[in-house]
Amino acid sequence: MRIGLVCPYVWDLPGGVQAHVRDLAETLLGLGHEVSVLTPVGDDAALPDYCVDAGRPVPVPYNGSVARLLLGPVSAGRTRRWLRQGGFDLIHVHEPVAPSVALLACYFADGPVVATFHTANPRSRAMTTFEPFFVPALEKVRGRIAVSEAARRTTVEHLGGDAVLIPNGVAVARYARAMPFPGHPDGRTLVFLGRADEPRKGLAVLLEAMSLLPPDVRLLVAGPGEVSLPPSLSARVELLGRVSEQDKAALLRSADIYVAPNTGGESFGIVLLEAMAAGAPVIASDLDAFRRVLAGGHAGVLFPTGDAPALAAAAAALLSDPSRRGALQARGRQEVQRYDWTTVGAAIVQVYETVLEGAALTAPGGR
Amino acid sequence: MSTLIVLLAAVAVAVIAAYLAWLAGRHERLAARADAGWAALDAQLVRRAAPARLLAAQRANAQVAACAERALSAHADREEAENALGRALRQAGFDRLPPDQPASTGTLGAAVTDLHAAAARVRLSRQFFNDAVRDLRALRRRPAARLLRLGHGDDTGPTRTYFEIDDTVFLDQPAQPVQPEPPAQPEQPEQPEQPDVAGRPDAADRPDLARTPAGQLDPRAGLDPARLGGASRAGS
Repeated sequence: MRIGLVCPYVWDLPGGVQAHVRDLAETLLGLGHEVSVLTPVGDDAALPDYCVDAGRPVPVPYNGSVARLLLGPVSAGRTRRWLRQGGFDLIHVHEPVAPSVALLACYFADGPVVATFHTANPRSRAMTTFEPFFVPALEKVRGRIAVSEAARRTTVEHLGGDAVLIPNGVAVARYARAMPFPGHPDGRTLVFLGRADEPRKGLAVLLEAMSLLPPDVRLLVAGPGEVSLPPSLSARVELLGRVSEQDKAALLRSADIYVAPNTGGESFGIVLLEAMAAGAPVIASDLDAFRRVLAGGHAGVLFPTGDAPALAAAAAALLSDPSRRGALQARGRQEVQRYDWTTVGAAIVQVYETVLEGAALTAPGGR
Repeated sequence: MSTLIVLLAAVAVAVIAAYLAWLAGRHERLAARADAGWAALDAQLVRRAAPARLLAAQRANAQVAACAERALSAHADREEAENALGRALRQAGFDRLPPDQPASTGTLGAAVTDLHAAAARVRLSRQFFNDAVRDLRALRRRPAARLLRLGHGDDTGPTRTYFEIDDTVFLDQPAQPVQPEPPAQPEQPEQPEQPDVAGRPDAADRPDLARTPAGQLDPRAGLDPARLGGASRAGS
């Protein structure tokens, strides 16, 4: 079938939604479908063949963090042209509750639309304000997917009506096969991935915990954003900045422990699964989403959210216990299988088929 | 002065007319979505009842056969007929038959596989349909929609009312049991977390994937220690 995917966020910036759309597009292409992705693009645009540029986005503060969004006559025109020229059987938009090209695609779409909801958003003023604008567009959505229980709850709260739960996918083999950095894992390296300047990612908690850990423990931080290190930590913490996908996989393969100290705003925790696929034991804050991914704490270690001393204690205990790390690796690899893209892609295709069948049966002359 | 009033009135009328036309367009689209949702659900329900009838014939189970027949021909009491079929399938233990068992006849295994696949799709299409009905009804409740009498006289019938059945049969069973189960126990005691009749998935430890059709989506099916060997590391 011909599928049009719409990604609301800048393609060349790292992000969970972008990664999801990319992996979904490649999974669908691998299954023999025709795929085109409409997405905003930033500066260094080396786009894969299947991507169509929707324009340059503008940073907008939205729902407690800065989203780079895209709305305007230029992108509206490009969206309409993409829909017209694509001749799609089905449009699959992602995160359509943010004002973005995904919402535009909903507005202009004629045929069946499927939508995936990624974020857990408590009902906020920003979203209530936009409700009159997105409800009519979302009425075109014939099948809703939520990547997590929290995201599902959000659609129920905002839109009334349910969503099918299909978790985020992980390209397990890509992580499992990555080559670690030379000399790693070395038994004393923690890894953090995420925006350094986004408070909800919790780097501050991890840095505080680092100051409580023995001086030979090192921390590798990868992700965009500026952060100033206290002088006492500058020798032990290495800021790698933004890393490529390959380097990210290599980094996770090099970790003795992957730490996810997030303080909130996570609805799924895909990076935990990536770490597990790469064979890195995980320590994560005790958020709902993380607890679920870590099988209630059996596939990783949970610590009270925001509690730096508890994080330090958990990391110290795990670093000094190789057999426990081995057990967590094995359990993690087992857990992550159900999130492999072959599994997740098949479930998404099943949603497409269900929606398309109804459309075909009621199409004029279809029966 | 009076020209201004006429002009303003004309603008107001135009705005209101445009709004009402837009609302009517939305309504039409939602009605079409509900129709499509029902068509898909109807097709999936038939796809569930047909292999059930086949299986019942092969296993000489009169109750399942009667329920499947009724589900295939029911128009008025469709929900009740589908619930009865689900109950009969459960009581007959058909949901615990291994799909595609090589030793048995091919059609029997295939029918079980078909039942698992159909059960997953019944759940999907039922949810999509009920969402469509909800959106349609929400629009019709608006005062402007009532003024236009949108959907007047179109409030009943299968494509305009929620379809509520217990669609958990087959989905609360693993698609591929590890070993053959003993035949036909009426109810299984070891299912405390079975979802309620409304069928909301309890996703905490069983994401929907685990309950979708045979083989292709069983999360553990692809677990091959040899393939994962590349991920093991020395020294940790």
